[in-house]
Amino acid sequence: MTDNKNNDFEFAQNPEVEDHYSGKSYSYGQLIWHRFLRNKGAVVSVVVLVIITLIAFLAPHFSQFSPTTPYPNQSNLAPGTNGHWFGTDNLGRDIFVRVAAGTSVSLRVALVAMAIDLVIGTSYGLISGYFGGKIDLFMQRITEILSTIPMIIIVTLLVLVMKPGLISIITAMMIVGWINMSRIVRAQVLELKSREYVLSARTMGESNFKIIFSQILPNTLGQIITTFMLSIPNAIFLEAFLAFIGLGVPAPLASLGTMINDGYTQAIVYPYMVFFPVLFLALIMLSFNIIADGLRDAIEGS
Amino acid sequence: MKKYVLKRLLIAVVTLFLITLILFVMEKAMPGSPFNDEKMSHAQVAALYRKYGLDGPIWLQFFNYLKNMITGDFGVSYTVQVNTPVTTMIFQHFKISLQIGLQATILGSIIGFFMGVLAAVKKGTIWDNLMTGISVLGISLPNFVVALIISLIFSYKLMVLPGTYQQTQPFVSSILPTIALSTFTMASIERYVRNDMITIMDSDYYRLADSKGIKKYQLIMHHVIRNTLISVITVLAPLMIDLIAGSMVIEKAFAIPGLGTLYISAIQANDYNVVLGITFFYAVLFIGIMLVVDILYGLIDPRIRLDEGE
Amino acid sequence: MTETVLEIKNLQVEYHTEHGDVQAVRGINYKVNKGETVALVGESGCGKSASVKPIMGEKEANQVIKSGEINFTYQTENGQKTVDLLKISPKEVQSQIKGKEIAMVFQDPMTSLDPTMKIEKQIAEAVKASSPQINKEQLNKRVLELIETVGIQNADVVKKQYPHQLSGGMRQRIVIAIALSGNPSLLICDEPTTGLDVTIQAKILNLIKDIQKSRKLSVIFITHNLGVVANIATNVNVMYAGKIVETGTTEDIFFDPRHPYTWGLLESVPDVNEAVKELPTIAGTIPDLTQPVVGDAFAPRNKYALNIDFKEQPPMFEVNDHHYAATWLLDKRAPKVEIPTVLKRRIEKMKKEAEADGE
Repeated sequence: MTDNKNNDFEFAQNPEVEDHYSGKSYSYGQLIWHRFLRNKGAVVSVVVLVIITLIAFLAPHFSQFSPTTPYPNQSNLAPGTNGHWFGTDNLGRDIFVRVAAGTSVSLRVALVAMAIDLVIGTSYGLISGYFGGKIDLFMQRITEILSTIPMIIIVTLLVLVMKPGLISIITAMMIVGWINMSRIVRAQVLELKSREYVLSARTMGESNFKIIFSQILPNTLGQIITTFMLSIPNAIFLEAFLAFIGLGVPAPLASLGTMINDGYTQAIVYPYMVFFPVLFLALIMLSFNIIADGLRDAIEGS
Repeated sequence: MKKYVLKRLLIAVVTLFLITLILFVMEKAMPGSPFNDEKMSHAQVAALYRKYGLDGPIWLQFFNYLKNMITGDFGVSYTVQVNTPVTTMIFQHFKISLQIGLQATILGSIIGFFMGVLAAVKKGTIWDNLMTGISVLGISLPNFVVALIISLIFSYKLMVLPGTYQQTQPFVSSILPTIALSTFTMASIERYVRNDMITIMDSDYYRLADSKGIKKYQLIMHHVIRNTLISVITVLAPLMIDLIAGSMVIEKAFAIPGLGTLYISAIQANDYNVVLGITFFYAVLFIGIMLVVDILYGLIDPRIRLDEGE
Repeated sequence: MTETVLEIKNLQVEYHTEHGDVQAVRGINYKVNKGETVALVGESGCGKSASVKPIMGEKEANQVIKSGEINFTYQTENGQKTVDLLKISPKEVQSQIKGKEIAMVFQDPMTSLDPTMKIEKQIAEAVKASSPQINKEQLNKRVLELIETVGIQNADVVKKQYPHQLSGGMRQRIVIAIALSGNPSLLICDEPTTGLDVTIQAKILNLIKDIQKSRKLSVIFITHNLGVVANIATNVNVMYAGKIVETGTTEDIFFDPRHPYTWGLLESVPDVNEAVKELPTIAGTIPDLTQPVVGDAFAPRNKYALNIDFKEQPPMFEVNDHHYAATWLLDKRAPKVEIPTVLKRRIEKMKKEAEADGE
């Protein structure tokens, strides 16, 4: 134990009293990452999504079957017959390849729409929150009004003017999809703006642009990612919703929504025709929701 | 509070005006005219234009349009139900939608609320995980998938409930659609209630109330559930609006002759008057719901209600 | 004969966090006697609050009480009774102890009242919890009485109001009224004046002091500011990193402090009479308690640290029979260290003032 050397009762050599923190210190990102990894559901969801994405983008290229060309003599085959893993539909098209192609359509819709949403929402929120004053007031009034117009009204009207299809869905999301994002970013910016490091950067005479990108944006990233992740299932949902009411992507293109719509009426006779697209849609939606929840918990630190 | 109500009212009016303007522009931009019947001569069309005031200056046309909209005159249907006034059609179909919508709202809110309370009170236990699991499912599964699953089970396999709407059995045949429509509301309310209750149970005022030595039941009822009930109102409006959107899908899935079904068939048949009429009706409905809920919240929460002294 | 109301023996509390297990309270001992005010002083994170939470039976999901006893003595109809608050059931704590025998005043008056409940209801609830038989009329009278007790003039207006309509000081008075509603014998005040402005702080402190005297309450007073304690406490426990490093009467701690950490705390108390250019603070931060502490936890921040401070934990050295400090500087073998001169001057001045007051 203690060897009572003679110098025990002399002053220690380190009286340079300094900040001393012996604990392991994590960076913010590492901390979130660690918390996220502990959430098993979220990790499994990431794996599921990766697999689904791979299937969606690879299967149509490597499969011997085409997702769009009909083979009337091969119609209504049960899963597993003639190399059709998921069976064929009433036009003899391979359901596996169609589900894969449909998934990639749904994912692309979601990603394109959300990327636009991210850019508009984030910059709107940043500008409104950072500059404040009259600019903020004016921009807030606009979002307040826009947010009272429901998404389906905008979408149906757009579909009416334009044609049903990807472009009208994406346009609709561009009009109102970003409001939530802009609100969250704005709130974050307002809070961060008063923090010391932003204030000091301001007094040092850094440009607004630089402060936004070097100080504020990195700090709001966590919130932005979570909102972003939650908006993806919303976009997929909207696409499926429109497809189901008959306003989705036009044939012969398939999305998960249109496949469910087609299979719906035959669900009693050929349940597998609707089962597989439903399964994929449900898995995508579930995974994104669980990942978003996991990210939120990791960021909020619960 | 007065200021608060006034502000909400003003926003509602501006929004409605904007929507009307958009609808007007859309009607002008619509391909073809309402009178593009091939059998009509140019002279006949011109006469009709004059009759409906469509040849006047554009601002006058808008003014007429606005007046018609506000008085509920959306014109007549061209294709879906030829020459029937749109207003009549809307109210005919809306009754069923309203019935199912209200049933779903009530069912979803009540069950979701109790699930949320259970999850929060038993936080960290199997109950919490179960409730959270159900709610993640409810949020993730589009309601037409839920509709498909439950109608396969209850209607085709067990044959206990009708899978399509029958006018002779308005309640029994509305059971499955109500359940399918309520899942999203239920799941959302569960999440909100659970999170809100957990936040409250972590708050200083909960600690203080707990330190009084009152019974656990009383503590939860008076300080947690009461406050959650107040704030849950705020999510009710957006949920009801989601529910109306969901009703279009559900009505299609169960062949219910509601407003959603009418809307879809009008869109598919390019019956512009019906589409624009229903759109306007929906807009009024949405804005009305939000306004009512906002004001209701202001009346219930003393922090907003008593704020006018400043 | 002094009567012990609360005795804490070797209390150890741990918190499980994602960084590891934090040993928030590492074996503390102290007593609270009837009519005494015992202060727990230290920086935030030193384990003050964590050490009193178990008294109120407040259990957090990640909190584990590793060992210890909390013996509480109170009067019942059948005479005096002593219980170990860590052994009796949560139900018993809820129905017999909380609010009735031990009450608490919380840190932040802005958030500690239910925002959507009228003041009268919040007080009435506490009154009813301790005397369930009370009738409506008596209840009303009692609520008004309590509001007046804490120095609020227009009680019948205030009782109809909601928390957000009251100022911070008023709200803290209401919190105190709630604490008093069950006629407790022990009052725990957890930083009751933090977040209030200075003039109101003084008023709330005086209120607590008056109530303590007139009701012969025992008080545990938690604060990070030693300056607050001087007028109110009988005994002071200075805590650092989950341990009590110096304990003594208020005179002991203020006039004859021995632990370098106590010196640091005393130096950082602003002196209103002295124009100080810069308020000294204790350099460094509190240690990471997920790691086992070797030697004196304060050593790395200690200007007077000895080599042994990094090897072995100092025992409690006796200064006199009521004053103890855990620092190797009190060992016979240690070099003689003088109190910092600024502090010494201050102490001289305080002593004179105290004498002047005494006359």
